[in-house]
Amino acid sequence: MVRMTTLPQDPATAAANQKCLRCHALTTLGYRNAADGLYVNLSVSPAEYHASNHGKLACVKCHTKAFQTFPHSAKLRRKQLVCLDCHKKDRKLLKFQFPGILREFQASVHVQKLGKKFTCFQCHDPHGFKIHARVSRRVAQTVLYDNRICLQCHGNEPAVLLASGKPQPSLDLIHAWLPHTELHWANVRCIDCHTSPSNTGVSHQILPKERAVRDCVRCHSSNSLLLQSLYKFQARQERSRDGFLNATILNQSYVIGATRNYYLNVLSFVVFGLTVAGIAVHAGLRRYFNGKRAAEDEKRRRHGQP
Amino acid sequence: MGSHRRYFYPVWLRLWHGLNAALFLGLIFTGLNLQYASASAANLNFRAAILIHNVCGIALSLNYLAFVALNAATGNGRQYLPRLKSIVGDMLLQARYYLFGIFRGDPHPFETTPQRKFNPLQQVTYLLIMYAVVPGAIITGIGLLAPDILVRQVFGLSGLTLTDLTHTVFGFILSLFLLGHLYLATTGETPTANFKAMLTGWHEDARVPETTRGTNP
Amino acid sequence: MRKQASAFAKTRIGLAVLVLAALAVGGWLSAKIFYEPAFEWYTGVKNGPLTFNTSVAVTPAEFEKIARELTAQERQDRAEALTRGKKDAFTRKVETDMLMNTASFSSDTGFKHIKYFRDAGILRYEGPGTCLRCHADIPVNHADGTSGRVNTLDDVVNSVHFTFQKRAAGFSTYGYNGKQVNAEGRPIPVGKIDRACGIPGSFTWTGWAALVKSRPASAHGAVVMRSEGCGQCHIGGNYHPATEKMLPFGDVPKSAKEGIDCLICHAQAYDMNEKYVIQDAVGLRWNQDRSLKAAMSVTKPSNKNCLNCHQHNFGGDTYADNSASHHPGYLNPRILHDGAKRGMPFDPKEDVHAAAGVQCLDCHVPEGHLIPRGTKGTDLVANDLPNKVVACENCHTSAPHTKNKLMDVVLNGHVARVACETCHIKQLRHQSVVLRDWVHPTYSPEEGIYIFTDVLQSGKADEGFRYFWYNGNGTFLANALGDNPDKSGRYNPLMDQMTRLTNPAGIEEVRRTAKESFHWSDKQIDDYLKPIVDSLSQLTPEMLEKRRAMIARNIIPVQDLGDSKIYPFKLFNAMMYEDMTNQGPFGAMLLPFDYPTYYETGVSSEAVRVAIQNPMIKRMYQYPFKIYMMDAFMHYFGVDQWSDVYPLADDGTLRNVEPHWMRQYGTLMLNHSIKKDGLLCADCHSSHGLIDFKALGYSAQRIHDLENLPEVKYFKKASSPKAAPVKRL
Repeated sequence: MVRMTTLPQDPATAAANQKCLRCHALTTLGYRNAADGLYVNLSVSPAEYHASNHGKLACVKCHTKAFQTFPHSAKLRRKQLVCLDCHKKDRKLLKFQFPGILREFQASVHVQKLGKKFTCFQCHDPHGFKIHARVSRRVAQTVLYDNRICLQCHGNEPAVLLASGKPQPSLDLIHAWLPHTELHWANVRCIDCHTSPSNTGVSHQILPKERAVRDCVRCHSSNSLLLQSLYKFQARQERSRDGFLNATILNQSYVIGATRNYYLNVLSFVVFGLTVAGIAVHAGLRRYFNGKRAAEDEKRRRHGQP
Repeated sequence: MGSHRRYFYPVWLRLWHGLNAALFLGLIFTGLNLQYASASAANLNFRAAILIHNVCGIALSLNYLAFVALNAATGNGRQYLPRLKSIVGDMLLQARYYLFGIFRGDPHPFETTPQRKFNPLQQVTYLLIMYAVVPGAIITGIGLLAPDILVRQVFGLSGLTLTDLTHTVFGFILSLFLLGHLYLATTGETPTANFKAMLTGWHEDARVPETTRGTNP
Repeated sequence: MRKQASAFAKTRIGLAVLVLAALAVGGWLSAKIFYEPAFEWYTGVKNGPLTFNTSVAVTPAEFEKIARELTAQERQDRAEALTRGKKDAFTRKVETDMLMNTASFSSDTGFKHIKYFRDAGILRYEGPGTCLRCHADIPVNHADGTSGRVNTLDDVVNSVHFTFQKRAAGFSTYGYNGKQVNAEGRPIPVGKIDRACGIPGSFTWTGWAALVKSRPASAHGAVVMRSEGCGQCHIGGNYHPATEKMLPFGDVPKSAKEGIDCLICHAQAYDMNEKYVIQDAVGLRWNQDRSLKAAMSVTKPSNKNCLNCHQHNFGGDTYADNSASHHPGYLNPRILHDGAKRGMPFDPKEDVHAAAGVQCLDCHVPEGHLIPRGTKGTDLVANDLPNKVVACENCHTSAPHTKNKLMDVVLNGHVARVACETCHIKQLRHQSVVLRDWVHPTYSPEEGIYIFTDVLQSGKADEGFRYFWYNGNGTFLANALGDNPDKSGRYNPLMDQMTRLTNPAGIEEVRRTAKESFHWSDKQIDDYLKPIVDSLSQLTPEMLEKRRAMIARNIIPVQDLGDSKIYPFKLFNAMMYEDMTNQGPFGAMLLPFDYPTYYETGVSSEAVRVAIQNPMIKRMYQYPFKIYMMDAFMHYFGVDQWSDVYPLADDGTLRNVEPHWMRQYGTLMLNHSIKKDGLLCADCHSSHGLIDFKALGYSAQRIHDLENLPEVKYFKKASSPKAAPVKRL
């Protein structure tokens, strides 16, 4: 379980939010959009919301106060909310590099292909959003959380068909070339192969499938790509928690080249070198003494001695 | 003392040994490729290396099973059991030979006979290698081949990492063994005698009567 | 010396191997030869070759005549569709006749087996053997997308439709000891074969096939033999159910497999008038339709096939649209019972899915001959595919409402807490039996037999069915388990008697029926009503305390499993004879009735006395069957240990046997007779709504909220038929 760190919510906000959650906490609150047949989820999990990065905000902070009346007016819906409305202005949020993320996002295959139809909310649910990689101590949890985001659409055939006009190929089939596919999926995020590396923390430039990483060695080597992405935060965290040595020995998981950890590596070279040297010395000595003995034998024979 | 040429290695043993050696080399070669894989180095194609490593590994495991079975069936397995009573002394004796006697041209301290083909040091080494390290490498190898059967966590460490490390260490030990094995094989009557014996099955006796010596240059 | 010794040892080992092999072969042979007689001796069941006089060979000419008959309607419909445009009626008729009798119309029909039989020269249906000639094995598609082939006969023989029991795990039923049936420990065979329901009593062994003398009014005093028993609805044609499958080893004999009725599920022209009890030299068994005509009409099972039997539980035997009820048997007609356990027919008139032509197998998607019941269930019925989900959501998704956007959102919101059935089953058929008194039968001049008395039949909410939290699991005696998601501990239906009759109109109805049927005094009727309105009054204070403790320890944890929703459940209780030596806080061992005695004399205690002399009932009270099955069975039942004191004393009188109502009403799942339009908001969200929020364990504050939703007013307007369509948001 991910430990949910609940942000303190002031009582007035909590009471106001409770009014909305009276209906919106129902897990199946939603409808199927008549235009495309897709499900529109209107449900907000109170527990998830409180644990999310936005958890201390009042609902009406983003959704206008006009939503307080029931039934909600049809006009309200027309205005699309945008993350950067808040995130561009607030200085406190500078460290998250939203301008960089925006640039990557706009270069991503999703926006390139789908244009304005594709918004932040296609992937990120603002009511449950959590910067997971930075806070989770376990890589597997981050992987699960992040991959679920992709699978919201890519595990949902009608959604892909509707958005792209092309059928969603079977994920199993197109990844069949990848040995131990299931294991990769449990330990590596989709975006680790499907984005271009960046310095915004988590690259938002999703690449077209032709440009995805297919070269095993990009990860399975000492200079693994993953150390710049998936393991970046973990390594940093563990170094501060467990000290450098432990982190270096323990941290690297099943990436074949990465089991070549530094200390074992040096040790193996030394042992191997010593063995070769030992054999060389022994062989040299044998050769030397054999030669000497052969010479003596020869001498003895020539002198007719037994 | 009987004939100076004695039949040491039956056909099955030579076949097994040959196959084992070939697979061993394949595994070490591809194993190094996997271990030191990198994007830049021009080494064997990573996926081909995995395939060869897997195939050789499975073949070697089957070959190993045949080895164990035939050892039990033919009684050859007894060759690996040292005399427990005098094991320490025997090993010291053999070690002293390798360190000193061999240079002086001393005779081998333990006579090689079809009943007792290995010296005590060989017995102990082979026993450890064939019944501990090789099975260990096979078991960890199977674990890596089917990672879903592995224990997930061992004392907070990933079971996979642990298995992988063990497999690597065992592989390394086996590579060292191969080096030593090849070198010590040259310490026979002549440097190539043991290799020939392994090929033909016939062992040139070290202690042949003086009179017959000249017949076999 | 040593060599000799080792040679000797070797000889000894060889000898031992030889002896063991000989023993194994001998054992196998003797098992083959002696197992069946030994089994028959132990259980008292009989086996014999099964022949059916409906299996008659026809001539090729007759074959063609039957083929024309079978396809006439279909050919005519097709032809008429083509000639519809013709103005002149006579021309239309002539053209239709010509068309429907063309060779291509005759060969291209829905009944493919006509052609197959013709090509193979099959002129007689001999039973499963005829089917297996081509269908020795069949392809099976599994839910996980894999497929394979199975041996057809094995598939059928091991299906619940034949065995009506399972020994494997996969029951959604928990014993009162808190253990899921067969999930741990040594599994025992359970299912409808030994379920404490149906005819009261524990074993179909006593009620498989019976012939009863009746003097119906229509026969003017003459005796008419009538058929009765479980076998009418099961596919075995043997003298007893698949008893063999209840013992640790042994398969049903070959003769029993040859008696399997393939056609009742597959033949569209199956004649239910051939389903009646026949007596031969060996004993009583159920006849079946093995005519070639039936065989020629073979298809995948249609609704009609399923409802041949299952309408019994849905609409009831006498449900007018149940075709089986109009075909009770050419000989010894079956006794049809008014009063269904559920009263929710799967019929176009009553069910929106049936009206839309949805087939049973569309939702209950089979894998070979295994048919899923669904993962939820309160009763102890075996399930062939316990993990296969059969649910509304499979088709309707979790956002099923699409008509009116604003309503949709809120109605879809309910899906998390309220089952579809809760709103979309508003009422059951009136002939839904709530209280059935087996102990005091009433004489029916019309039928000319004594019949159990349904002292209350009702299809109304509260009286006939009520709402409970349900997580998909039930107890050993069919009580829905679940809990209010607030998990406050306020919800305890088994201690709070959420099932008992409280409805004043219902109580009045019981009073009236009892007075009419039994001619009792008011005082007698008051006494009679006591356990009906307060089931727990039948327990001693010690038993009550034990019950409270067992529920807290064993049942509450199961109630808290998973996610619960509010579901409607049919209420059911029955008064039966019980072996009070084997009593626990939830009930006592129920005892069966001998049908002929019961129906002919109306002396229910005598019917019990006769029935329990059945050899297998005796075995239940003996070792080793006690240890093999009864102890475990009774642990689930909430009884510490199975007492082997046989309830029949040496002098032939009943020993410690008493009539009782069950200590809690059973709750039966309701899933069919689905209506298009569900309940309206105010039907529940008001101070006197259908749902008793207090009983469901809500807090006072929450009850107040739920009963006074400010939005209801708005929705009332929106959902009224006169309202203008709501603007889409």
